[in-house]
Amino acid sequence: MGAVNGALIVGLGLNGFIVTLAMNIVLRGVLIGLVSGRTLFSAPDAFFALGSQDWLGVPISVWLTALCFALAGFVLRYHRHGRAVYAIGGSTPAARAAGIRTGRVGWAVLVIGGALSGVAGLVLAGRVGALGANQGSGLIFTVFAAAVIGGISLRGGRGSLLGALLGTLLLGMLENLLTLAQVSSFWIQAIYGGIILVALVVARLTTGEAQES
Amino acid sequence: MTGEPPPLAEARGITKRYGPTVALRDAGIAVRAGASHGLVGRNGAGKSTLVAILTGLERPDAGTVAYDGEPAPAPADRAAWDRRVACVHQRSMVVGELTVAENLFLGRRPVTSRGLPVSWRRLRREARALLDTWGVAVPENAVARVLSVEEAKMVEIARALSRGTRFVILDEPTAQLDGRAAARLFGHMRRLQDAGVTFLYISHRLGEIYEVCRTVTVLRDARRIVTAPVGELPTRALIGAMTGEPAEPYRAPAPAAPPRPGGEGPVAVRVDRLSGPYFHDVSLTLAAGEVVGLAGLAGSGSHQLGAALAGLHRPTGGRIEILGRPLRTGSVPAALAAGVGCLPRDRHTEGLVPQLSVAENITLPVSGRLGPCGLIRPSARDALARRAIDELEITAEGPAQPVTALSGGNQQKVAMARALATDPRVLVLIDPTAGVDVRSRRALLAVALRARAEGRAVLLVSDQPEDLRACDRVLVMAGGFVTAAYQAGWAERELIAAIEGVPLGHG
Repeated sequence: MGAVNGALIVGLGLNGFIVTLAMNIVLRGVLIGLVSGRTLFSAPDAFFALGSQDWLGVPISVWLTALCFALAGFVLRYHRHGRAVYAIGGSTPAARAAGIRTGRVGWAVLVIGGALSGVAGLVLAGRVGALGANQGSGLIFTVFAAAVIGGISLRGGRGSLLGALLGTLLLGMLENLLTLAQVSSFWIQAIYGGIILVALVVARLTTGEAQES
Repeated sequence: MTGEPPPLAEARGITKRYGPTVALRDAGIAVRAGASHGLVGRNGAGKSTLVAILTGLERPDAGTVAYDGEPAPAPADRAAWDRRVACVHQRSMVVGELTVAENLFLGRRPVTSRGLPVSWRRLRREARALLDTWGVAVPENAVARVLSVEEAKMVEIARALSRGTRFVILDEPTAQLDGRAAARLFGHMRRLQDAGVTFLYISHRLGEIYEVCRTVTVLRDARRIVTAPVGELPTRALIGAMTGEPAEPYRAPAPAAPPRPGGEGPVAVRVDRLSGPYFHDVSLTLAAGEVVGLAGLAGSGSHQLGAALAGLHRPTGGRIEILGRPLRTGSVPAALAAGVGCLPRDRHTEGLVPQLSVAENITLPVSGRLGPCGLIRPSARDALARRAIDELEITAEGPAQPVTALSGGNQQKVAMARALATDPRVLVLIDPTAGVDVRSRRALLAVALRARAEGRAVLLVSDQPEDLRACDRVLVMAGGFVTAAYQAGWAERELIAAIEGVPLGHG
């Protein structure tokens, strides 16, 4: 799906945020249509393996996450294509003038992003042990929030994978904490959103930099 | 001189620090009504800070600002400041999607009668009246986006004047104008001066100072060096005051294009009947070890022709040969591989990635050569960057410094280093000295001449006579065609006339 998104965004110059959101809705609709709104439990074991099995006492999903972050972090920092991503995010015309194939790199980023979210879906399904029609809904906004809290500019060119990891962990811990604190599940969403807002304000005040989103 | 009214605007004993940096040290300026004042100085001399203090955007750490002999308004009283002074910035501050009339009354509502929504008819009428008063021939209904740069400047000036001030600061108004548009702007300015408007005029193009100012103040290293009537300060002395060097006879860097030893080098670039949206049927050749100037106004197609050589612009017809091999047009990687390096036109958009460091910007085109399998070894990258910093005499703390922390001239040198990073046989420089100070200009041109000595072919696209002096030949473009060619040693008047597309004989 990343490839299609990439074609739409890079090829036609559509707004990335909107295309992603629209594709999100389309795919969710397809999922609901395919399962007719029900939840699937029967699938081959291998399908759930990523989210349910352990290796050396640690869940495979954690290994997978660590591997993805380490690999992507290294590439972004020390590989020419990784640096090209930063250059394009900072100034596409300047990157183009320096001989970077901006369209191709942008497309590749979206394809990789699509593939990674596919893997994430497998992990999630494995952890829950089922395929729900509503699984992962709303996750897109959590992801945005995690990125911004981790200091990544939504305009591009600024941020690091370490920041993204910390942002994700922070939000994950927050969710866990709220559950453990036995906050009523009816209110969890509201509190969660409120805390994200507070985190953004604190980040803005402490770094003194406007988050040009 | 007794009985003279107090200066229109005066700043005295101004000191301003930003952290450890002293931006102004006991500097001052006095602008008299009716005597337009030039403010010159190299990048970082303190011009912008002085303007910020004169317009009330910054408060000085020491010193006073007075208007008509009265102390300046309180910092928060913007309306009072707006009545005394206005600044037209280098970058356009008109809202492109609104009409001229709306732009004129932006942020104010004197045209709305109380309780009513905006009365468009009245807005347009008052806008028309305002434009007529100041002789700005711009339709009030036009969307500001379609205005030319100099028309937009005039709208900004009219907006400033409508707020009551007769003192307007112009910060490099001609930076994006070609010669003819600048001349039109000067015409407007002279008319406004006759009508009682006083300008504080900031520019890197010193010739303009002599054209529109009566007095000039030079800042250097945060201090005021001299204030004098322009008649008493010839160009040579003015440049001496700006650079702090003894007033040696001004010459283009490295005695203007010494004759090349050994005659013509082998042909490096052959452009054959190249056509595109901006130029038609252009043919030219560049020899190795030759600097060729390509002069032309903003719409002449010279910029696009340079960009086409570098793969930044796709022509529709004709062909380009680099070192005897046909070049696949419209592709920067192809141009780089063929041996073309390019300093793009505008360092803010195409020349540099502002978020990245000096080293990363310089090595962007060679990122594949800094380690195995496309990996980038930071040590290799920084070594390359350090060499470039030394060779081009870039004033930077080190390779890791963010490129935006450098002054304009040094940023341009970084962009130049990027163009040279691939060790190109053909170097395309588009407006290499736009918006840089005198010393950086010399340094940049010296780089072009050094590239020539190293046997590279250099195409220098510019309409600045100082730049073109460094060239072995100058081709002039007008309206998309090459219209004239000059060997080194041309007469400036003749060349300018050819660039402007006016026949010689008058003026």
